[in-house]
Amino acid sequence: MEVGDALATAIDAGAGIAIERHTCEVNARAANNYPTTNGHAEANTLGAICVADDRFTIQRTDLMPSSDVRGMIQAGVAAARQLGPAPDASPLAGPDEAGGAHSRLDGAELPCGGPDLDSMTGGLQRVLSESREHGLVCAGYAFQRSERELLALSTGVRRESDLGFASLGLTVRTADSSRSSFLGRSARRLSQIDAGALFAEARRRLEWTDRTVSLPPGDYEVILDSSAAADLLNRLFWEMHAQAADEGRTLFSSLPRKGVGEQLYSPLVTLESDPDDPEMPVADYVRTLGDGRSHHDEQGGVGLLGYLSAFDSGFPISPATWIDKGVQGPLVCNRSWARDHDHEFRPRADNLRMRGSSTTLDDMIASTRRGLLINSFWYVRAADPSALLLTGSTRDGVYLIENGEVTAHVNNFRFTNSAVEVFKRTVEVGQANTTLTREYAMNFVSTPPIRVETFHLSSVSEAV
Amino acid sequence: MAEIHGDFQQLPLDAIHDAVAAPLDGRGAGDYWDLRVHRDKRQAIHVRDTFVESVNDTQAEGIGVRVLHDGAWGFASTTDVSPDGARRALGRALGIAKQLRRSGSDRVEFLPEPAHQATWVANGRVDPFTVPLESKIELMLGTLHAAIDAGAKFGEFHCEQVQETKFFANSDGSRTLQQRVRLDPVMDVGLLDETRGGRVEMIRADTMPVAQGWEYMTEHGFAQEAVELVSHLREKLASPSIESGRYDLVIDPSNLWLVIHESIGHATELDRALGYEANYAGTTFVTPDRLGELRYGSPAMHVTGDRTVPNGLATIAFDDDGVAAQEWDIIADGVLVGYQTDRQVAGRIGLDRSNGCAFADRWNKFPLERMPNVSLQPDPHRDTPIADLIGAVSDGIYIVGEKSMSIDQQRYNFHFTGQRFYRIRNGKIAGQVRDVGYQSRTPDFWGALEAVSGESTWRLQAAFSCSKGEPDQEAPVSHGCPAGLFRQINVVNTGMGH
Repeated sequence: MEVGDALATAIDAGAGIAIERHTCEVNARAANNYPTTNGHAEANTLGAICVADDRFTIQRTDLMPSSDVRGMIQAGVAAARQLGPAPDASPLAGPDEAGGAHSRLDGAELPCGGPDLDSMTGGLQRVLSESREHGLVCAGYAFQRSERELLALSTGVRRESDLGFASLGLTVRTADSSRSSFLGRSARRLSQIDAGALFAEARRRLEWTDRTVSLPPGDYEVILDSSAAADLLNRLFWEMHAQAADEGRTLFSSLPRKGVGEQLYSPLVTLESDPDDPEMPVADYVRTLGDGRSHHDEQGGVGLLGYLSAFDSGFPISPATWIDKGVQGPLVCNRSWARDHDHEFRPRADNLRMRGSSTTLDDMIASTRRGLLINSFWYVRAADPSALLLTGSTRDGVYLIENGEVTAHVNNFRFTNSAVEVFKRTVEVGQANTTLTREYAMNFVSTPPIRVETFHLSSVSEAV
Repeated sequence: MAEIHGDFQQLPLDAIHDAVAAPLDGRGAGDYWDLRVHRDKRQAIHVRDTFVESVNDTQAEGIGVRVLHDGAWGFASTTDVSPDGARRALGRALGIAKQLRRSGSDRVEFLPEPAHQATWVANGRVDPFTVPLESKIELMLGTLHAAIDAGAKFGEFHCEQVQETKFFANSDGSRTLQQRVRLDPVMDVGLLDETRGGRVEMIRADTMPVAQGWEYMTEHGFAQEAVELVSHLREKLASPSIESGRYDLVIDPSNLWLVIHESIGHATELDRALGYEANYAGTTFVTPDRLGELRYGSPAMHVTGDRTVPNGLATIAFDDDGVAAQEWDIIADGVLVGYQTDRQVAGRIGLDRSNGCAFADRWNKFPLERMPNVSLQPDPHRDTPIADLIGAVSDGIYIVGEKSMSIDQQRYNFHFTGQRFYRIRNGKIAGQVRDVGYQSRTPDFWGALEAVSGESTWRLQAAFSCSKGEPDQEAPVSHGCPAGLFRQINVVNTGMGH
């Protein structure tokens, strides 16, 4: 089946919206200084939203030579006719609204041939060798996905994009497992991530000091390194949906104007997304065909689409500012809810950037009289979803800073903090980087390390 | 559902097998290969209030080829389910393995297993993919209508149905064809909480994922359950907030299964104990040197692993290493006596056979050691009712249903909440309370287990999608358990600002 054939067949058979994807993924994993599992996967898939007037179903299939695309679409349209009208039904994007035919192809070669180890591992192999030489124990994961995506609407809209996401994460331990350090980065291509530099930084943190101290729970001044800050930021951003706020489901629900225009956070906090971000390019049109698996939040189900509307597929996504110098901007909102509830239609791009500064992490450490540096978090969940009171544990690197220097490795903690309060109490931001979170590692996020003047560590965790 | 789906059997499985087997025939001792042709068919329906939010049909299908060459792994996959696709994946897998061997990979030792040839189809009477969509929607919307008629302001009902079909062959001579079905019905109803600024408060039914056919949906009685949920939620919203402190807890099976999953299930995965998940899912405090010695908890603990329990989500006849399903002890009399293993890791603790926990969630994933059904056994001496556990508490809380949780990467320090919390005073239920979270340390928590209820209270609960591995893989798994009585557990108030 040629590229575009399935897409054309799907539209011809009655699909309102169709996406054809040609994907290649390579991954390599390591533990205890040696490679463990790996994989090379090529896939051709078709997703379609089968629209029958004001109702729809979603169909997805991996494409094989024998795939009956026409039959699948016709069955999907017939099934849609059995449903009641969708409350968010809206006309599909026309060429004028969606910008007509549009391509963003960079011609980058998909790693779909016979993969060579260097391109698969992105330097992970060399890092493992270095770790053995230094008597350390390294685990890690290198991943790259390259994708050509074609989108078509029955209105004549066509979009074509090359999309890529790569990541490298390293967890380095001392031989006695008494200390560990995590660092991760994401980029469009694995070759853009410097594995050697990541390992060197992880090793530097292990070797900052030989001293280890046990500290009790309590309120501390902390520097959250970019990965830790990004985990809290991602979780906060999940809540920024106008419909959820209007329905009374989020922390924004009880705020005046649902928090929009309110100074909810520190003036140092500015949060944006931009599909054309040079470090984190993503699709510049709305996509509502996820992986088809269910997603439930901690407060109650919100469906398969969350607060997206299938009818918005193909609409262009513009750069957006979600928080401007601590002031909450308009929330994410689909077209139907915006129209019916006096909001702005605000689709979101699949990346997030929190603005940083020129201050390095070392500068931030140097200006700390007494505080903790936290590398990353784990298992961040809402203890009270209505207030976004989060709990989770610190992981792979907690350090005591005294008089401008790291003076000891510290035990891990459970924390309990409101995400809003954390970004309200942010008193300094450092240099941003495209970091890798431990919780939600498959999206682009650029975050600086942040200094939080009071952060509540609620109990000690023995985990190392 | 007594037969493998006809479409799948029409795939050129013999030719795909030969495309992989023939080039590898006669390779040196110690080498191994396996092949999976894997179809994952899903339908997810989500209805909300009075309308259908979405109907989502997915068919994921492909070939995965895994090769162990001179002790180094290579894995490749394709959606081209044909002999050519298999040959191409084999070439890539072999190429990766050879490069890794040259670059100094650690040597994998794969334990032996007899060859198996069998076809296996799981329990389940009504294939959900043959039930008309309109019947499913009628049942689900009818359930929410019942909730709304009973006063609910919001309702959501989600049901994901999965049919997983796998052809497996390996260099041992195994050839197996297996199919199983599972359902994930999730129902929430909601009210506006006028005592807290009109926020939505949702409550979730105790209904669990099951490895059964659509008959489960028609026989369960969801409409009645929806009406009861509204009543429970109304009482909850009118209830007082808990005061933080130490309480005796009686934990219902609908909540306790998740603690078992997180603090025992994940903690006793041998690959974690050996450091294989250090970069993602984490390690564990349950290190192999403590096998046979670690006191996990009180003598009331008897925890088993199995891939055989009827209707279990991890139940299968053969795993993705080609190992036959088994049952074994993990904790006996409160002491650690076993791990979950696959063929790669079992030998590392001196075992001569894997207990069959390999699983890959899709055709494009490398099989990992994944959790079998891990279950806490009931009181072996007496069929103790839950009311007797409650009767033994003078000042405590009875916790029903699971909600949010968090646990550290070595499975020590955890925080759990629930759906409903009943105050216990002098051995009697004394109304609901709210805002309850409980925090503990795994050995302390299980050490505080005084008693479990009896066999008739034992319920099979489940996680539909448990995450592990890089790339992330989602595995279905069940946990059976009775209720448990835990003394003096730290309870925190999670109702921030109220």
